[in-house]
Amino acid sequence: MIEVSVENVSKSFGKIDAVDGVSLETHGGEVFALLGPNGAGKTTLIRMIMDIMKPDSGDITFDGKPISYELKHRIGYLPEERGLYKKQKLGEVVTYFGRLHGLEKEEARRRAHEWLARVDLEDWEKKKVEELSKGMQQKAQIALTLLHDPDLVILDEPFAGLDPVNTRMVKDFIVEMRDRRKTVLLSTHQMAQVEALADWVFMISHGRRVLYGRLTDIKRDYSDNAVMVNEEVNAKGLEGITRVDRDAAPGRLQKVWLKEDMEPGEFIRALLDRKEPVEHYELAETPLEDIFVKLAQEPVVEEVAS
Amino acid sequence: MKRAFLVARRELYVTIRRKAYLLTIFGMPILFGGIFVIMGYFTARSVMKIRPKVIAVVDSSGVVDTTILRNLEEEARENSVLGEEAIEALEQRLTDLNPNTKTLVSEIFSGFRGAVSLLTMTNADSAREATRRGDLDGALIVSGDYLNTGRVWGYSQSRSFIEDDESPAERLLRQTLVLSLLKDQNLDPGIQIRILRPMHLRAFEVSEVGEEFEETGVASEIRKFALPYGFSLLLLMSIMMGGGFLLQGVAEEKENRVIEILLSSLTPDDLMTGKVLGLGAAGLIQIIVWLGMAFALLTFASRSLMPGFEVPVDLFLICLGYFLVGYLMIASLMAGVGCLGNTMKESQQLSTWFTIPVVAPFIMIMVILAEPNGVIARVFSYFPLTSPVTMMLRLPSQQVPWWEVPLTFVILIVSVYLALRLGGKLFRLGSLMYGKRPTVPEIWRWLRQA
Repeated sequence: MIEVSVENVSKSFGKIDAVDGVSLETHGGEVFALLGPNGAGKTTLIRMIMDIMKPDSGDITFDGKPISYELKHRIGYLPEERGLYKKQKLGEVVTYFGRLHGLEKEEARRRAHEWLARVDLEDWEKKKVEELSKGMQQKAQIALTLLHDPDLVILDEPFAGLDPVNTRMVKDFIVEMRDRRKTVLLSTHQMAQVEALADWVFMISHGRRVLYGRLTDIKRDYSDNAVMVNEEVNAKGLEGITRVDRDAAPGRLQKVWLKEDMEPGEFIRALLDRKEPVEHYELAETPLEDIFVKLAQEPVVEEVAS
Repeated sequence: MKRAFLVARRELYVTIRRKAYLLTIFGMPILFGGIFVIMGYFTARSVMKIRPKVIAVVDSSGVVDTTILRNLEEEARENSVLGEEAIEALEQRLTDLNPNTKTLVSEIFSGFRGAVSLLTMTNADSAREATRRGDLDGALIVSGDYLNTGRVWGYSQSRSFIEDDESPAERLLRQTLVLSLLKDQNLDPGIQIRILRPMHLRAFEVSEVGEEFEETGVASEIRKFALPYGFSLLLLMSIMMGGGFLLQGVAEEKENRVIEILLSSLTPDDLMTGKVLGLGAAGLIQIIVWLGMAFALLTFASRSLMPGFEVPVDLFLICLGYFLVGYLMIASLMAGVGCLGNTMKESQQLSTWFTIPVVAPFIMIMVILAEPNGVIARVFSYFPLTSPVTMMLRLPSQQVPWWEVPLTFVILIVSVYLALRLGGKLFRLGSLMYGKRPTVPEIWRWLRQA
């Protein structure tokens, strides 16, 4: 486990502030989701964490220490832009990257073999990389990211181009890492995966931090006072509701917005009192996707939650 | 450094298994050897295939001695491929043996190329008519008043065939006439030789180095053309190949974004050092193989075909030295510009800033060979990018002052240092720069900021 701490980091390219005074802290054994619209500064932030780029100002530390070679060997990085040496054999390429991460020759070879088997590519070990499909190359890259058993993993869009079976596999890797108390930094646009995996959420837009906190806290903060009930229920005419919308809810459900002083418990009691056929009842959660879209479209960049 | 070494090992390993590399390293000697063999074959074949020209000689004056004419013709055929050394040997033999006319004339036609068959006829009109019909290639008619006027008429379908001073028939008849006239004069054979060949020029070159140098024949040709061409071409190809692979490698890593993973576990300096060293090792293997083959070939040739030609061992070592410094300089620059472009094509376009000066001496080859110590040759020698190839063009002439070699090495070593720093800076800046290709003023601004 390595705790990453980013403090007030800024980076500009010419006149553009790619990252502007951003801070964050990871928590070991938790999955940290890094969100943000395209061009918001996510990749720049990750590259600065990886020491590929130097920040103009601010500090990035790992367990309180600046980056070093020894630390880099404990980090696994899957960049958003994928690429491998196309003309070389898959096994050789994976072994080479293992060696660059400080593994000895035999160990690198053994683990390359082992990891290629884990991602179902053992039959391709002796083939040239260019013969692999895109999804296979993606799996190979995930293998070489995790090969040296890093304590901190930074995955930039790990699900891109994967079918559901392989998506499940990568999710399992992430869960396994988390359970082994590793720090996982996950950057993705797939909100469903974030909801399923993330403990912490960080969102960057126009170079600024616009969202930062525990997923559960964020979702609570962003929920409206609303409930979902099955569509047969007739809530009209009840005290304390503002609006009913059938289109806002999935499936055969309708969404009922309540007045601010109306408790959801009171509302269901009122429904039951009216002998409405209540078969489904739940608090309406705002999907992360809606929060994302709302924040990404906001021109004013100010932190909303923490 | 350990990581740079890992990178270097991979680069070397991947490069020496590349088809392009193997094809060049072994294909080049085969190609060049093949060209020589084919050229030699066709030259030999064309010489053998030429039908001897049939020329009629009509002597109306009674001066021409037909025996001399026959002998000359035969000798001409036999000695048509003898070189300068053979002439000297013959000359010696002639003075020793007080030779008769037949051996005397053999000297005249040594070096004579092309075959001719002379036919004596008595009727001038029929000879002319036969030439007109194409039965004869030509007719030479010695006028009846030859002793007074020296007049000879020549007829042929192509005028140049007879008019040309070097035409075999014309020479044959000229020498026949001289010998026929001398025949009854009882002259000393030595004087006869001098009349036929009034001077035998041996040229000496007195160079700046103060060294007198004289070579003739094939050995001189090799020193004047083959060595400069050979050395500079091998050097140029080795440097450009190493630099080209480097540029390609960097551009490829940037294009397929492998560079991002690489830079997450090593520094740009490690990466660049590793690449330069790895490809340098591949280039070194290449030039050693080539120079080794050339050395073996020259040694073999000097023993069997060109006695007196000394294989210039020092030039081989100096060439290797120029490769090392020249490659390091170009490779550093190539690594720098290689990562400025977004694609291979863009990077290659940028690299022409360096590749054109490196090739420039080869374009100016005639000027440099003609005047190895001329202004252009010297300026090119002192300018780092053109220096290695220019020096390898000049050195075989043996006219270059010795101190120019250490001087150019000092210039090049300083340039290597500067190129490494410049290339390293560009590499650090460019390795993660995507988007629009930077313009030269932009690059300049970055460099000043960095």
